[in-house]
Parts: sequence; structure tokens; C-alpha cells
Amino acid sequence: MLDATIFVIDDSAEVRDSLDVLLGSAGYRVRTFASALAFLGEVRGGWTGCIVADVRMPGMSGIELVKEVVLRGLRLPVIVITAHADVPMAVAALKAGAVDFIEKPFRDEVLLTSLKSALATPVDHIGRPGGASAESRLRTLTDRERDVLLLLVAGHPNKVIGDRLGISTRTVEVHRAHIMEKTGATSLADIVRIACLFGSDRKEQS
Amino acid sequence: MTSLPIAGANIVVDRKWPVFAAFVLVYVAVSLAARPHGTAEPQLLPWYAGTALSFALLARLGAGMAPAVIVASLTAAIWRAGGSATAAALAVQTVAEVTACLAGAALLRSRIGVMPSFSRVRHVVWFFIAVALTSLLVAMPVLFEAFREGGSLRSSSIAFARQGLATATALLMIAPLLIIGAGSGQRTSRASLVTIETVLQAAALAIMSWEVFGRFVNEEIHFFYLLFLPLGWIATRHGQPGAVLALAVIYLAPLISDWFVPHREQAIIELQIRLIVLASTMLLLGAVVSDRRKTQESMLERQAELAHVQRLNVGWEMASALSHEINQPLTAAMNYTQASLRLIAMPEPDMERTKAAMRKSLEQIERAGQIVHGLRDFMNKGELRLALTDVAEPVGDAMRLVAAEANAGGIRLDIRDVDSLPPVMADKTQLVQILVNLMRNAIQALVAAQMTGTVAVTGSLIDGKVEVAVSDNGPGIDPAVRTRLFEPFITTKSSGMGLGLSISRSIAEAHNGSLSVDYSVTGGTVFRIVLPAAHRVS
Repeated sequence: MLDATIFVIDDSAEVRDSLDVLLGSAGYRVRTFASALAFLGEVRGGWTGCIVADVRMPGMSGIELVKEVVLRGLRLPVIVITAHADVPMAVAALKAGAVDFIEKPFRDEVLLTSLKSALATPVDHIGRPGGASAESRLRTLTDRERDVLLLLVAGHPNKVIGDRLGISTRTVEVHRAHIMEKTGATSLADIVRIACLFGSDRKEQS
Repeated sequence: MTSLPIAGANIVVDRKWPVFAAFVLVYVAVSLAARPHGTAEPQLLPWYAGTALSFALLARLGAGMAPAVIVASLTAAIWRAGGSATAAALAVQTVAEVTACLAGAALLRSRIGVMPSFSRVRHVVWFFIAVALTSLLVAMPVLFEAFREGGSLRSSSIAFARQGLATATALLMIAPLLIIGAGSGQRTSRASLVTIETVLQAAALAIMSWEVFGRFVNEEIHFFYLLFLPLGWIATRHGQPGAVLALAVIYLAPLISDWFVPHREQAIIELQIRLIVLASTMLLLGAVVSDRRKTQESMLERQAELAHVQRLNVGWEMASALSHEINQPLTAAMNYTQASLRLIAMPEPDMERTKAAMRKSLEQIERAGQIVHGLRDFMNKGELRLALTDVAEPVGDAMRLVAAEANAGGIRLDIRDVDSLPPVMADKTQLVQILVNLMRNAIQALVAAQMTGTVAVTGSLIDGKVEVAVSDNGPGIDPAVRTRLFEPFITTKSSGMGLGLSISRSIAEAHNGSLSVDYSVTGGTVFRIVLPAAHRVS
């Protein structure tokens, strides 16, 4: 596994270099690029490994990069990292086909675990979010909890969600806690990721 | 300034006896320096400044110093009279002087406070009233004495008037310097008083004084008006401190010349009337000039406060982008530190790599700290502090502050040729403010136009002036607002107060510089800050 190459794409030189050192210390080969365009200019069809890309970059954003990677049919999973973890951005990244969405700064285990699972993902599944476990977890949610989840993912604060659904803010918080508990989500990014799966699930249904 | 009254109180409490002794010595010396005139007893001393000293002492330090005035007045009178003075005459003279000065000083203190700066016309007018009161009271015994000795109404009035004029002249010319000179905080700030101009002013004053009181004192009294020229010049340029100093210096001239060429009785009256007019005019002029300066200073303070409010506003606007900017070095530092932990945990730790990673981690934490400090300094109230500043410093600070917004918008920041410029005399935070305002305007214009451009900050030295140009290759400024660009509350942005450019220009002008704008034909905009270059004293 440690033969794999990680392609780090970030416009910030210090983040790039620090990821190089960190992933290097974990035994990965690392190649760094200052922009998505620089990476796309060099990438070849046969490359394997995993991409770790920042979202906010001049020229081409990380999310556009994910789309481009999927479009070109590259066999490289993309993990998106960003300091601006807002819900719409996470949704956009995961819908575009990123395998994970990690908020900066992060503990190394979070990134390394994500890398490990991304590298273990069969290449055919790359760019297609979903999986049996996620589906089963989502099935345990009540209808009301699903409503709350959808509004959460749309980026609404608790108060607005309460107003929309005709329930109190306190109740929204309770639902939110239940969603976290049932799905095993530990962070905003987790919720978004799960909601994304749910969203695509619903699309298939309709 | 608030600490000064306390300092005055300390003089009374801690240094009472030295002040007491010094006052008595100076008083006696001054009274001996005046040449006596006439045959009446006691003789008239037309250039006697003792009363002015007493008045100033009581006005500055309060009625508590009255014993010093009594001792000084008695000592001087006994010394002058030798053994011939009667105890009654001495008592009358001393009581008159002490009462008069106490009354005048109390009036002054009650009306304009214990620390008058005479920088208000109102102060000067109250001073005139106190002078008139003191002079009248001092001259009273002379009137009674003249009557008692059987003088006519006319001759008694003349004796009364002569005493009153002499006292008023000394009070007007000497007392203001002593009152504002002792403990005035303003003068210390002007370290370099010896300039070509002040030397010329002193020379003009000396020449005119010699012409008026030396050569022509008893003949050509109309030459007196020449004195208005140097005094007017000094009062206009230096305000009240200059005026009161020059008046005191002029007073020395007749005091000295009286010993070489004894003044005629008639000449003395004419000189003193003219000196009173001169002193009154100059004190009023000095007050007007000082008052105007104070107003200007307080306007500068207001402007600094307004600038601070705008900085606060801009700071809050930038906070979100800056939190992102802080996140980058924090992320990097965390990565380096975690890498170091991994490297150490290996069976054979690579200490060199670990060290390098730790060092880099440190650098990143420092950078995050710099960003936090930069924002804090920027939003601090901070008093206006002028210092020799290398332009590269505020340019670097401003760049760190706006880098986040530039990065977010994909705008490149380009700094050129600012390292080799001579320093400028400026408040660094305010320079950072101008630069932040201009750079953010440019960045936001580029982002709004969805252009990926460059904002360049370019330094140059033109005709001995430091120019910093902030240019962009953006869409340019809407012609509709161009003519009113620097007016307050003019803005094309949906958020913001529209104060940035107006405040930036007033900051530049307060630094004796300018802020102007040029439009390039290709659409870009160039703002130029021009500041006078300062010279480093090595």
C-alpha cells in the first residue's frame, strides 16, 4: 500500500510542504503541485494513487478539479481539504465525486485513515459516492429526521429549520443529535457526506 | 496636561522653601535693578518688576505664597531706603503690594484657573482686568500720600497715574512669561527652537530695542512703533509662548538703558503707554494664534479618531478572510508537528528530518502570530505617533492583512522597489490603513469584475519625495463617481461606509503628503501616495 503516490495540490506553499513532510513521514511518495492546472498539465492516464486538493485556489478550484478528474476518467480518488468548511461547499465537493471532505487543520489520523480507505476503494467505484453501510444507516432515520437532515445540508441554521418544519429550535437540536448518533457522524463534514448520499438516494427514488 | 496641576501642587508642598528663598533673592535683585526717579519719598521706580513677580507667584502657586511676597517686599524696601524709612511707610507699601497682588491673582485664578496658558482671548481679557485691578490697588497709597502732603488734585493724580502705569507695564510684560513659563508642557516638545528664523527674529528684536530704547529714547518716541514688526512676526509664528517671551525680553531694554541714559519723566510716561498698547495687542494676537493652533490640533485628533473608526470597520470586514489566512499556517504547523511525532516514533528516528520539521512548524506558528498581531495593531486605537518609518514595513503589514482576500479572489499581489526608499516621517498604522484601503478597493474591484488580475504596490523616489503607487489592471472606476471619489460616503460597494478614500486622503495630507488617482487607457487604476522623504539622523 505504501507504494502509493499522493498528489498534493494546494496554492499555499507552506501547506503543500507540510503535507509533503507529513505524508512522507507516514511512508507515502508525495508529489506536490501549486495549482489544479499545473497538475492537469502533467497527469497521465496511467497514474495511480490519490489526490489531496485544496478547495480555494486561484485559476481552478478543487471542486472543478474533481469534476475534471471524473470527466477525464482518471483512476485517482480525490480528497478535498479546506479551511472553509461550509455546508454548500462540502455538498458540492462530494456531489462532484470527491471521496472525502476534510476541514483544515486536521489530525493526521483523519487524513491517513481517509487516504487508506480511498486507496483501498476499487477503482471502478471512484467518483461514485455511496455504499451499503451508508444506505443501511440512513434507513434508520425517521421521516422528520430526514427532513431536518435535508435542511441542514441546504445550509440553514437550526432556527430556520425549526420555523420551516413548525417545530422549536430545541427540538431541531434533539433531531440533530439523533441523526449524529444513528449515522455515526462526528462532524459537520460527516453529516454533509451522509446527507449527500441520502440526497442521491432520493434522486434515484424520484 | 492633566498631571500638571498636581505638579504645581507638589511645588507648594515639597519645594516650598527653595521657591521661597529663590523668590526673595530674585525680587530684591529686580528691585535694585530699577533706577529710582524723582525726589518724592519713596522714589518712583518706573522699571520696577517686583510687583509682576509677586503677582505671578501668587497666580501660579496661590495665596499660600503670600508670606514670601511680604518678606521679599519688606526686605527690598528696607534695603533701598537704608535707615531712612519709617516703619509706617514700609508697612503701607508692603500691605498695598501684597493686597493688590492677592486680589489680582485671586481674580485670575477664579476666572481662568490655576494653569492659564493665555491661549484663549478670554484668558487674556481676564488677565487685563486683573492687571488693571492690581495696578490701581498698588497705586492707591501714592494717591493718599500725595494728598496727605498737600499736593493738588492734578499733581496727586499724576503721581498716581505714574505708579499705576509702571506697575501695569511690568505686569503685562513680565507676569505672563512667569505664569505660563513655569511648568508649561508645550515648550518642551519643540526641541529645535534654534532655527534660522528664530535667530533672525531675535536679531530684529535686539536691533529695534536698541533703536527705541538706546539711541532715541528721549527724542524720537515715534520710532517706538518699529517694535510692532518683530513682535508681530514672533507672535504670529510662535503663538503665545513666543509673544510672552519677546515681551519679557523687550522689558529688559528700558530697564538697562535707564541706567546709561536716564529717561526723561515725560518720555517714561509715553514709553509706558505705548508698551501697554504693544503688550496688550501682542498678547491678544498670541492668544488668537495659539487658539487657532489648538483648534487645528484638536481637528487632527478628531481625524485620528475617525481614522480609527474606519480601521475598526475594515478590520471586522477582514476578520473572516483573515481567519482563513491564519488557518493555513496553523494547518502547516500541525502537519509538521505530527510528522515530527511520527519520525521520532520510528525504530531509528531520523533526528535531522525531525529537527527540520519542528523548525518549519515554529516558523508557521510565528506567521500565524504575525497575522494576529497585524490585525490587533491595525485595530488598536493608538495615539498618532510620528516616527521615521521605512515604507517597506507598512507595505509588508498591509500585504499580510489583505493577502487573505486576494488569495480568496485569486488576485496576485506584487510588491516592487519599496526596500530601497528613504524613510518617511509618519504614523505607521495610518500608512498601513491607506494601503489596506487602496489594496482592498483594487482587489474587490477585480473580484467584482470577475477578473484574475494583479494588484501592484510600487515604490519610487521622485524629486526627493517618496511615492507609493497602488495599481491594478481592473475595470477602472465608474466615470460617474470619479469626480467625487475622495468625498466621504461615496461608494460603489454594497457594503462599506464609503469613507476609505476620503480618510486615506486626509491621512496623506496630515502627513504633508498627497493622495491622487490616475486612470490608464487600458482600464486600470493607479492611486499614488506621495510623502516627503525624511532623513535619518545618524
